[in-house]
Amino acid sequence: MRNPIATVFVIDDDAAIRKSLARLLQSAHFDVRSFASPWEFLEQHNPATPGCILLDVSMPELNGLDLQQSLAKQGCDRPIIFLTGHGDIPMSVQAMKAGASDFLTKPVEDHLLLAAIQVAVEKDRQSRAARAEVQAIESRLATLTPREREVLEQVVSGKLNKQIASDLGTVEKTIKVHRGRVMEKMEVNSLADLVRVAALAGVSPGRPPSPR
Amino acid sequence: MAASERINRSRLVLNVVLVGILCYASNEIGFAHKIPPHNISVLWPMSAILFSALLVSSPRHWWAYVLAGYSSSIIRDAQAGFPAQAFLFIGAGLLEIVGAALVIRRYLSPIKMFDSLRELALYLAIAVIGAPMVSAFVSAFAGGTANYWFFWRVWYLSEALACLMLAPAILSWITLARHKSGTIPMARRVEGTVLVTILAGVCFFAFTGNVQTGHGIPALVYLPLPFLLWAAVRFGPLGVNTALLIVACLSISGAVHARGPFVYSDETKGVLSLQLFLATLSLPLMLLAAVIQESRARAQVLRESEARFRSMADTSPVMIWMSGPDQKSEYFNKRWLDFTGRTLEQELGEGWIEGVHPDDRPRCLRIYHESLDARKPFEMEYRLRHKDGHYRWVFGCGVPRFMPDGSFVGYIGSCLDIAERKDAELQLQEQRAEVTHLSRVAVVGELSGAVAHELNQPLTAILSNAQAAQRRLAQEPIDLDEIRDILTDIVNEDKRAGEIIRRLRALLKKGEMQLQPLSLNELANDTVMLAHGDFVSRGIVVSTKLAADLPVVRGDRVQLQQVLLNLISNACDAMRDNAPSERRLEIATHSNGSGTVEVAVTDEGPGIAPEARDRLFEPFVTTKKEGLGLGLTICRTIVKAHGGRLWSDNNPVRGAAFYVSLPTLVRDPI
Repeated sequence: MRNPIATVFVIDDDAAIRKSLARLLQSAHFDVRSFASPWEFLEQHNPATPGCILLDVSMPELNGLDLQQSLAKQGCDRPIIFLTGHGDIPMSVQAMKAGASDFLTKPVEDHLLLAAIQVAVEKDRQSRAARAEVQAIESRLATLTPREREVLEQVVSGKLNKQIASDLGTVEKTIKVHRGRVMEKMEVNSLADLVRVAALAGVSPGRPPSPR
Repeated sequence: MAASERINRSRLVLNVVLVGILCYASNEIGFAHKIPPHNISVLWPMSAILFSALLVSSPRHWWAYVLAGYSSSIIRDAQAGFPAQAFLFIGAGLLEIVGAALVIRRYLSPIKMFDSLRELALYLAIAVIGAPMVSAFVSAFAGGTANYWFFWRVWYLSEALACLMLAPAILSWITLARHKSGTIPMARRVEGTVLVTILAGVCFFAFTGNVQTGHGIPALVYLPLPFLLWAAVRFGPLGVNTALLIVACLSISGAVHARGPFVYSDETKGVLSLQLFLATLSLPLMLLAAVIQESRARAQVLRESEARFRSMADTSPVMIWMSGPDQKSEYFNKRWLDFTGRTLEQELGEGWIEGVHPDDRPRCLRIYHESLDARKPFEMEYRLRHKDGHYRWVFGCGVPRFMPDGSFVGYIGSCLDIAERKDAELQLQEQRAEVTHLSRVAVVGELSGAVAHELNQPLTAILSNAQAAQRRLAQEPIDLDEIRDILTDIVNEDKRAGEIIRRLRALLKKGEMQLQPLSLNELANDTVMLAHGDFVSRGIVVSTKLAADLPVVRGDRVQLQQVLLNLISNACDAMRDNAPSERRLEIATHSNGSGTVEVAVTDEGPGIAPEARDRLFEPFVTTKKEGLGLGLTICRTIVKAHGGRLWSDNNPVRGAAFYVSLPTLVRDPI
């Protein structure tokens, strides 16, 4: 079997549906993990596994929407596709507003389901990639010395080297050196990239210089 | 009241005076008609007159009448110096007249005496035979021991004849005068007058003609007979009494004047033969008249009864019919004819059958003829054609009629138009079925969203399974075992869907109770499965606590499931406002030792308020916004029909519980 594209986590209390959905998704080369209840899923779920959730909305014990909120609280933003036997509009609107990836009604056609899963998986991949990038940036940021950090902040606020030198009480040459080292450590080639990367890392630009 | 009292008093005085005068006059006549030489009177009129007066007046006034009546006799006796005979005669006379009057008043009605055979016979026994006989014993002493029996005979016969021939006439005329209702038609008056005239003439001819005296009675004596018969037949007792009086007067008169066939050399023999002639003439004719009168009265009563029946039958709101012993109809009342719009001739005999609906005809005829053959009462419902052409349901019944002697004379029966009743019955039946159905539908309607959801589950599984199989078949290598598994699962899921549909259909079907052995555990599980969607959509957590080895009950699966569903639905509704973790519903079964099995549906809702307790099972009482208020009513009806009980109670901690207890199925001992 080829490497699976991603994992789909199927949560539905109806065993026959779990089985049939698993079969269908496996035939589309997804890796499937099935759970009979949200509790089970939360217990065994590994956030590092890429993939999305396929969730039956109307299960007792825990509303699907409540699960969505629980996951969000845990900091997990895995995309959720809702599957429902009811198909009433208010519930779907509520789910979508809360950030569901899609809302499908049973019985579900394979092409619709697979398309939604593709979208969700892609979303997941993108968000993972984004998170990974931010993490990388942050790790690079951590290698900066405090001085370099300061210089970075001033540079991304758009100040000229001359200004930064006078603000920080040093000469332009020193600033240029710091700047070069920052660019190097942050692995960027242009100011625009630096600004972008800094923004991604949440660096707030233009703090007034600390008095020495 | 003084005025009417005065009128009565004056009338009384008048009557008394009248009687006095009449008695005086009759005494004169009587004396004038004594037959020499012994001066025997054929009949003594005064006795009859006084006797009649006493009979028609109140005993309070008798003293007055007696005094008035005897006044002339007393005066006459006083003039003769009160011979001893006088006292005897007066005494005997009083004894006879007053005594007879008393007895007759006691046992008979003076007004109707002559109209009935039995009463006439009594009158004759008392007044003609008895009283004169007794008084004769007294008065015969006047003749001393030598002529005792002669005097006895003379007195007896003259008194008896007076009561036989004169008193009846007087009484009949008094009765006619007092109780005349309506005027007598002219024709009748004329006929009466003619009769009397002819009779008088004939008598005159027969009794006063100069016929040779001799032996034997000439045939002329029989001449009055046809006219007496005419009087008896046409005018009844009144006529006969009057006619006999005329005969008596004229024959006596003739004999007194030594004319007519009753003149003998031995005048006692003559008197005797005249008296015997009169007696033998009167008795049969009076009896005949009484018999005729009785049969006329009976015929009259019968006619009145017939008329009464007819008018009652024709005004009755019910249709009435009669049939004879030959089972053919002989009468239909007005309402029947109005209903069918046919004439009596059309319906008589067997014509009425034509109006019966063809489908009902064989059954009706069978019941009719079978009952009539057995002479038993019957009832039947059938359709009869109304005059507007449509058939209407009627309820007919008939009973046999028997004469007092037990002979069978036919049937009489009635029919009632029950078209409206039948319509109402049908409507009621339909309504009941409709209400039960509606209630079921209402319950199902509440679950329909959940049922649709229920159906979606197997459908989803089938679709995903099938599409997975399609994909697999397009990929290498094809794993046939997996395909087989998929198909197996598809089949099972399809059956699961079919089961849900079947249960739903059974629930919606209107039908009769179909009893079969049931396991309540199985029923509870099935019901929970059926209502699963409902539980899910309302967030209810269901648990079942089913006793092992629960005895089997006998019941209608669909109906009992309906009960369970309703209780479950109510329990879910009760917990609507509960927090999500407090929506627990429990279904428990257990067996009571005493041959019953119990199912309990428990919730955690607010429980049943005390004021609602009594009205829980009442129809059309509901706390739900869109409820019919019939669920629990129908549930109770169903449970009762199964011989069980349905009741509710509040739980000790919170919520309510509904209990259904049903009798276990008892196996027939082999």
